Amino acid sequence: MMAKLWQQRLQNHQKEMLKYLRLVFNEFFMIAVFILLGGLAYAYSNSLKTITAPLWWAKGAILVILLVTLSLGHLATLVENADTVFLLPKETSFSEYLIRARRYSLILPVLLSLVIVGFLLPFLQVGANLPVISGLWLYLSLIGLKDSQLWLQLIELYERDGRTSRKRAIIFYGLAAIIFAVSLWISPILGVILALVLVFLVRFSAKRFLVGHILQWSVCLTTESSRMLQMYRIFNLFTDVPQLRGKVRRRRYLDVLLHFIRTQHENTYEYLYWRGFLRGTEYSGLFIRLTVLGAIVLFFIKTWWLALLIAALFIYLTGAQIVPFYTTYEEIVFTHLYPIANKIRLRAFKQLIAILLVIESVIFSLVLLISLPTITTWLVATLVIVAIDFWFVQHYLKQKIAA
Amino acid sequence: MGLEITNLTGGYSRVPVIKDLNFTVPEATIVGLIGLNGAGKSTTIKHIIGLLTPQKGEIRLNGLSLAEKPEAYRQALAYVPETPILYQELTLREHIDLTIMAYDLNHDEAWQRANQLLDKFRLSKRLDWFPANFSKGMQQKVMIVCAFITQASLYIIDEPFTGLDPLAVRDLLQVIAAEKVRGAAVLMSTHVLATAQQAADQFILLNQGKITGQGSLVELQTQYNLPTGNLDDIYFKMTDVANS
Repeated sequence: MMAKLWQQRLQNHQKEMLKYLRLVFNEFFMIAVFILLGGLAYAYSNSLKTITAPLWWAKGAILVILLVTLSLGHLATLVENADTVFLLPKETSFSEYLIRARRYSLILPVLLSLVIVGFLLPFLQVGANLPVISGLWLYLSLIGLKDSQLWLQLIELYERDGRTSRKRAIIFYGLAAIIFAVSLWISPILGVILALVLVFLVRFSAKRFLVGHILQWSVCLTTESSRMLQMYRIFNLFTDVPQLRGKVRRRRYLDVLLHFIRTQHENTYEYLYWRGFLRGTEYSGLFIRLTVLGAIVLFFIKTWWLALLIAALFIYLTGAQIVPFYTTYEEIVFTHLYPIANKIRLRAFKQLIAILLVIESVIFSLVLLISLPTITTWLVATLVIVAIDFWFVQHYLKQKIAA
Repeated sequence: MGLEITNLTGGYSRVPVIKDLNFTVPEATIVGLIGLNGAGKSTTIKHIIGLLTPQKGEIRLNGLSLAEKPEAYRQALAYVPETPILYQELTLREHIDLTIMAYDLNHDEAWQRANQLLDKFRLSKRLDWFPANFSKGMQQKVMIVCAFITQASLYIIDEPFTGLDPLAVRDLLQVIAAEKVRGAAVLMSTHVLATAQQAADQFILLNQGKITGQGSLVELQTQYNLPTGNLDDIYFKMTDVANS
């Protein structure tokens, strides 16, 4: 029965993920991502060319990247709130379900680690002066550690208290660091052997642990819902996720800005949208994140055309992700009842996006003023950015909202 | 003029939920819309407020239809939903301001009315709070305040009495009565028949999407042959007759 339940959950889950992935990998966005990846790969290969002798910090950097990679991917249990009521009688056999869940949770990290280690390979060779084959050994150790980590996460569902959990995590990451260090500085094969020993030890003791311990449902639920929340947050960067309604903060200090909107009929939607934007964490957070990230990236890029491309990309991404905010209030019936023409609402929203994009553009332009070599290139870049703002608000936005 | 509904058939899909409804809610009249769960009360209301489009028939408010004059139609109508619906990011004061802006009301006069209503419903001290965090009953009061500052010519009130404390029910009835005196038409759907009987002038009994009886209490008593019966008795008899 537990096997069947897991199958069913997994199917539903995959259906939902597929739905979001389809939304994420849509037309324009994919082009943007490819350009960004291409740019990154270009910069990476360029910087590899400048390395002539092995770097003293290369192995340390690889160690850190491997540890970060190890932290990606969590135990996906797919439990639901109602389970605490309906599956309570099946408490003891539920571990079968969780063991299946653990096995499934391994898939994503295995693939993700492959990509990251693959990406590291050239650097491993040039920067750290290690043979290519050591990449394979590092990958195997990484998988072994991930396997053990997922067992530990499963145990956490049965026994969580702050101190033991913290101790467990510190010991685990300490061991992981030691194993990677052995792989990098002494012998990669020895690292694999150590990782395998760990796998068997953890697996053995975890199976013994599961007998005679009681599942803590509340821990199980909060862990799973926070995992899903993280996932939704990632999807939310690209598309609108209904499960994710951001929190609301009063932010009294922003009332000064809101006073600029005069309380009259034509401004109804300005009044609503600006308050919604500034006090909701969802879209304002998105705007700030993308603007700051864009400014940082632009600061480091000295090639003028690449900088221009990235500035344009960030403006497009910011705008495109705020577009769904237009429909935020549609589930509130009053939005449909107000005696206000639709074009007033559209105008208010256009104004919101225009102001936000101009703010972002000004910030980008200031950063470019520092990072670009000549005033002429800066002037060209700024003009192009303004043109993109204009295109977005006058053309793209209209099209998107009409659709 | 009030609300006039002729031959209204409609629903969510091709399959109609309400069939061939004919009734009016005249000026200065309170009409109770009575029916079991699933009888079609909410569907009727959704058609009147314009969330659903009629499949057949016509809805006119002060002689206007929504399709012809959407803004004038909406201007004439105020709605109190069954479950409170609020803007997460707006304070109580801002909900009132937004309503004033949306309906293009005179700011000072509308606030004068608002303050009276806020006092009545004991909300005056909460003006700078987010109503989204209020209890359900208080949220309902916010809905009531926002609806009644508009001075609409038609009020649609969906299940107003469930969730309100007795004091609030009394206060709401006073507010409705005052609006009636001003000349407003009021349509309220409810299950609380005792209160409805006391507050409404006319009743519409709805069963399985059709009107099975309408008129004043006296007229219904005659129709169902229950000369001393109250609304409960009539209601039970109506459902018995309809189901047999």
